[in-house]
Amino acid sequence: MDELLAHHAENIPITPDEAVEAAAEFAALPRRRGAFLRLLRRPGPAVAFGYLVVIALAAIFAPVIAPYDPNQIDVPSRFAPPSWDHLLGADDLGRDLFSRLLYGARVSLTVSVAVIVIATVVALVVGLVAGYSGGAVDNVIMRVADGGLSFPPLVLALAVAGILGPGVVNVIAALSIVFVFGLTRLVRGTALVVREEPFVEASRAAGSRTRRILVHRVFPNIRSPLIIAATFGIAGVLLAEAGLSYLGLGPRPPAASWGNMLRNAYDRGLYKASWQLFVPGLAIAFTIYAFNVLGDGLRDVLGVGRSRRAKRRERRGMTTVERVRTPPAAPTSDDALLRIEDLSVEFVSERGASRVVEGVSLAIRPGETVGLVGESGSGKTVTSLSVMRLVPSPPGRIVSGAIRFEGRNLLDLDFEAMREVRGTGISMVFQDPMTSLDPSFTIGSQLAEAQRLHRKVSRSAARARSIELLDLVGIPAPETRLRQYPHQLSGGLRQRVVIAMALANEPRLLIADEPTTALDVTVQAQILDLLKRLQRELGMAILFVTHDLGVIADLCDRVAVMYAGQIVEEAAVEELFAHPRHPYTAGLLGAMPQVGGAGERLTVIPGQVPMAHAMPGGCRFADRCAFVTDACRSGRIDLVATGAAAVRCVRAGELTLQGAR
Amino acid sequence: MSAEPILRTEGLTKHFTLRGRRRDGARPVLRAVDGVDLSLAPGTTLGLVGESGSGKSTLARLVLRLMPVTAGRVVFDGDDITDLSARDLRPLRHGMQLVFQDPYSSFDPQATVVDSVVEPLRAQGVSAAEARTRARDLFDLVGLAQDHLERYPRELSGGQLQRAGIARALSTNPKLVVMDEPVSALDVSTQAQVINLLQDLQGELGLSFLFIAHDLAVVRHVSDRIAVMYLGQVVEEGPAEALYEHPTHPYTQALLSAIPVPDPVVQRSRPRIVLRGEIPSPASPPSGCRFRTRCPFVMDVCAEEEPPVHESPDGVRTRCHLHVTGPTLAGASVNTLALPD
Amino acid sequence: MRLVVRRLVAVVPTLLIVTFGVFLMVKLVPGDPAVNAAGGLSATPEAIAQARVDLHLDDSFFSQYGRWLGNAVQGDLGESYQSRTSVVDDLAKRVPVTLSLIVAATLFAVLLAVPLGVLSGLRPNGGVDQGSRVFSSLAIAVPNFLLALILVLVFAVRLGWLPPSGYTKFGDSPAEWLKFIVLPAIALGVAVSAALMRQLRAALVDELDTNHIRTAWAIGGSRRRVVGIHGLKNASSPAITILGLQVAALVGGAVLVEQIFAIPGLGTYMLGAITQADLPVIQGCVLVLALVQIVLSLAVDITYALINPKVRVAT
Ligand SMILES: Nc1ncnc2c1ncn2[C@@H]1O[C@H](COP(=O)(O)OP(=O)(O)O)[C@@H](O)[C@H]1O
Ligand SMILES: Nc1ncnc2c1ncn2[C@@H]1O[C@H](COP(=O)(O)OP(=O)(O)O)[C@@H](O)[C@H]1O
Ligand code: SF4
Ligand code: SF4
Ligand SMILES: [Mg+2]
Ligand SMILES: [Mg+2]
Repeated sequence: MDELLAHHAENIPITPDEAVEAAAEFAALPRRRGAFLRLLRRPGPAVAFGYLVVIALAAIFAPVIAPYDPNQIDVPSRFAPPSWDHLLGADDLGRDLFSRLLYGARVSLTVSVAVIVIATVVALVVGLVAGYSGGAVDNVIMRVADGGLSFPPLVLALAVAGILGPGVVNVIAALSIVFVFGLTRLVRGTALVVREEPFVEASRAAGSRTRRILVHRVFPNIRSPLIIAATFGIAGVLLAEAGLSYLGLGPRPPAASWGNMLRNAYDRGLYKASWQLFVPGLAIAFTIYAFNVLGDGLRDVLGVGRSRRAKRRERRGMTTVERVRTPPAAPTSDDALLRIEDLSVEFVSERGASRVVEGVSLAIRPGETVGLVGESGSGKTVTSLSVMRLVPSPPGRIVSGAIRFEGRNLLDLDFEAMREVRGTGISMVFQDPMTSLDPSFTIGSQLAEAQRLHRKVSRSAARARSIELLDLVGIPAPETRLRQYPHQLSGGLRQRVVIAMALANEPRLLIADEPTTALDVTVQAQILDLLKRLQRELGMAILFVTHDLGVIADLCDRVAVMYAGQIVEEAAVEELFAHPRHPYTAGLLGAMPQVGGAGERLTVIPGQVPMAHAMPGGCRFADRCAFVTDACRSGRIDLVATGAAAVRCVRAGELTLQGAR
Repeated sequence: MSAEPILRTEGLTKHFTLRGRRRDGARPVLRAVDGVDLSLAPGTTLGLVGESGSGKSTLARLVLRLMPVTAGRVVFDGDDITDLSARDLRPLRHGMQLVFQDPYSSFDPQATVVDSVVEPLRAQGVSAAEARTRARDLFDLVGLAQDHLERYPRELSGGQLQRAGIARALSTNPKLVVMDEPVSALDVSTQAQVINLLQDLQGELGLSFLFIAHDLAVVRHVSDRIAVMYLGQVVEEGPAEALYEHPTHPYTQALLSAIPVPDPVVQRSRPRIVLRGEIPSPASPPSGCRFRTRCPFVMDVCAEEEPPVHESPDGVRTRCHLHVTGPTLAGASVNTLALPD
Repeated sequence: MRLVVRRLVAVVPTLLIVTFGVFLMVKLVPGDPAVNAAGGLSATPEAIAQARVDLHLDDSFFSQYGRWLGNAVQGDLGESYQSRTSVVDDLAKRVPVTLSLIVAATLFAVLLAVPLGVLSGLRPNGGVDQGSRVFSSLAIAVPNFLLALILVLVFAVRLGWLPPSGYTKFGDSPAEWLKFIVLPAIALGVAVSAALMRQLRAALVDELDTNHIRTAWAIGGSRRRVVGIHGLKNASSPAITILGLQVAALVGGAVLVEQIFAIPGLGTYMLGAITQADLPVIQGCVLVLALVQIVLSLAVDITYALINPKVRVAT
């Protein structure tokens, strides 16, 4: 897809003038202040910020604070250790190190801030011109930036400063050149991404002028990454400045800078007073560290990139079970292949635990196809992952219930025992075929792996079986496919490969979680036909998860409808479509536009699904239900079974609802 | 159909030049939209369906002139806008608006919802205060509470934000609203809410819709006429009813049969056509009829010649050899043909 | 192979811009190169005029660049103002020294970062992770030259285990070489290893949350296979990218570190030239250091492409 980078939008060139004007206009916009306050509420960044403020004040007021003239030579105090006279001691010429440190801070901070300001402003204008205009202008600018980035930064700075000679202004010039390339690239890259965003297209469709789009749409979205890069950039400049002045390219001696203090301490004091190294050394390290902490904090607060603070923990491929109530007793005799009973699952976050699946029970008999249907967020995926013990833990955990597969409670198994069930007893096919296969391995090696995980098979036997499997799922020319990588296959083919992997060990149950949702209708029809054929030929049971009632009608024997983490109705498929008994089921049926019934008004379920942390106490559907009464809100409502069907509604007995038309 | 159409395209074409080189040294060209003739009567809805990659979104952007046209013409409300510059288009923009598929990405995450909703008005020079008053009315119109105005996009649900997207499109009283899969990202119950809203608005305001979707059931529900796209071309176009009852193109027939009907009795008894393979790349479309690699009725002539457009008396236009050669359907439904196996 | 060629071709414009930049840098220097070439301030006007002609200083800017580039390609970067020796010959002696330092530093960085990064990625917030987080924060805050000074102070001055400065060629005595290179390599490699470690950890943590890892669990994958094979193989790509970006820091840092440890590489050569305003040498050093960076980045880039099927195998 790399090839498709051709510019989507009509290129509207902007001139540097316009970019500068736009930048000025943007600077004058009122700004949200929240981010900064949120930053200071975190301990690390707050301390770092405080430290930097102190350093900055000390630098500004150095002439007032400093007890001595920084260049005042006092031979008797030579290498004096820290004392009340010389807070941080004195150097080889008896100059007061504390005073020199303060004056050095002026140099370091002036250079750092000046360089970052210059480089950021230049980068903003040049990067925007490149990124938003595209075409030849962009090409030239980016080639130059690439060239600039090919010089090791310090080498370039050395060369420029070396040629210009020592001095603060020259250092600023040299470092600005060095830092401008990277920042330009960042601005341009972000601008390119932002300008392809649909919301920028929306602005163009609205008829907004280029300038307005830049100021109100592009800039605000570049701002955060740029602020973060500039903060880390200051640390980089500081480091480079210290390096340059260490090498004698900073301010001309005897003027103090942190870098030349370090040099002096090393050259003169290494054997006599090595502690001197740590005076400028710690100042440099602390300041760089403070800017890095601030940068990390900004990244978290502004929500750009990956948060380092994310409390991720180990991924061990197994959901934890921490029951809050005793599991139901095992039935004495059971004709079900899989029986989920009273399953509840929680996700734990800083804001507490939210229970996204609550008391789900569902049984699947051998060879049966059961549908699990509901709108997004209703808990279908979490339910099906629970069966495989694949809900990520943490944050997920199973807090109640039992999942009996062929009589064994899967919630009692350890990893190794569960591993034996996965792929052999129960297999799973996931929603997104594009990302379900490992991009780094060939189809052949992934198919072979699926077999070898469970039994000893020779290379050639695995290969033969892989070909057989690909053939089974209707992939032409299986031999060539074995050598290919996932990215070489279309979505439909990838989903077939995933299905082939799932079938490798002839499981008794296949869980398919929206296996066709990401595919086009014509390909969906192929995959549905494939699943139907496979079931006929192999006789396995299928748990089919989908949001599409049409797919359920096509494929399933029985259906369970989920709403807000609960099963609200379960019935044989013909029964459910002809005579829905729960108002939500009927609502879903009425809301589906149908090829046959044009023009009629769709019946609508008003409102929205309640949030997991704000579930109504009684019927979870009460706020949207046309038949709600007081009884619906007054306490827990159970799933009541009558024969093969079940419904969770207090008024199910009295209501007659409209079924499929 | 005698009224001057609000939107008309003639041979509308968009080719994207891709990076890299083909073997013969030429730059590869992707024919995203290839010679599309469409016409939309005022106050009606033209539905546009097709699998992903068939060129629907590109067509939408072409008719709004959000990108340059490779060939052909776009006539909006009597004005030929094919070659207008971005500047000259600006005064016309209030008459034509766009609603996007993904409500979240079509709103600036850094701006409040109202800021985005009034943008078309502000672009027309309406004062900030006036635009705001209008935004309040618009929010009432699309059924959003006033306190949503000052929220940020991420604070609204998908359905709410899509209503805001519709409010934005309606803010300038447009004549034409192009909707690129406006309900595809929504759940069934919210989708129904939005569809009903659109139908009400069309009735009240006399809007014309170009309505894009990949779901034929949705399109059928809202459209007066329907165009079916495949690999950049419109393969069949006609009144919604006729197209559904008597599809004349094998692709239309296959699409219709691929949509599962939410009724097990009907779904399991109706005849099904399952196409083989997947949609080829528009960078190297098949010769002759572009559908021939997947067509159940393919004949020798299909590989050699592009099928001519056949127009039936009830106004169905179709691009398929079956109507002039082979079984010579001459405008009759493909359903009358027995499926070869 | 095609891929390698393609990458090589893509470097050509960069090379042109880099050489142009190097040329331009010297052209912008205040002062008249003819005066220098004719022997400095004491030169006679005739000698200066002659030098102008010899140096083609009156030609157009681009023809001067063309000539300079042509000479450079043929291995002629002029003579040092100071020593009157050929710059290319001097550079040739020093390149291997600098390269050996960079290679040693990279080895150190990789050997330290890979185990720590992997262990932290497998157990985010575990003991190793906490420890390496502290280490990497320190490593990023302490500039390599400061670290170099501290290493000298501790290991050379106080403990006397290793020499504070100097160099022996690897070819002459690998053991001696190692003694001299250990401290510089650590000073130079620590920051790189910190960056690498962070990236590896983050990549592994992200990787273990992907859909295809879920598939690997779902077919009954053992922990060793899922994490050790699928997880690590995919996490190595972003880590290699970071290594490529760190090459710049390595090459630049080498200059300072060489200076501190008195290693006779490109860095000391360049710094010496800077104090003496020896333009042809500065020019040559900058050019070669940029080339070193370009070549190393290219090597990383090609490695990345080779292990990544999406780049290697076209669709
Ligand atoms: N890893 C997770 N961490 C936190 N919440 C999750 C996670 N996975 C799912 N959820 C929440 O669980 C609920 C149910 O999700 P899911 O089972 O995926 O719904 P469905 O598959 O029906 O669309 C949702 O509210 C979702 O936000
Ligand atoms: N900016 C672009 N550059 C190159 N190809 C594009 C561009 N935009 C769309 N395409 C290609 O054009 C074809 C049609 O795309 P699109 O109009 O988005 O189809 P649809 O909306 O029907 O899914 C696709 O193959 C797509 O990859
Ligand atoms: S219990 Fe009451 S509110 Fe809930 S679905 Fe039944 S009738 Fe409606
Ligand atoms: S022209 Fe031929 S290949 Fe194309 S749709 Fe008609 S019969 Fe099928
Ligand atoms: Mg799901
Ligand atoms: Mg589209």
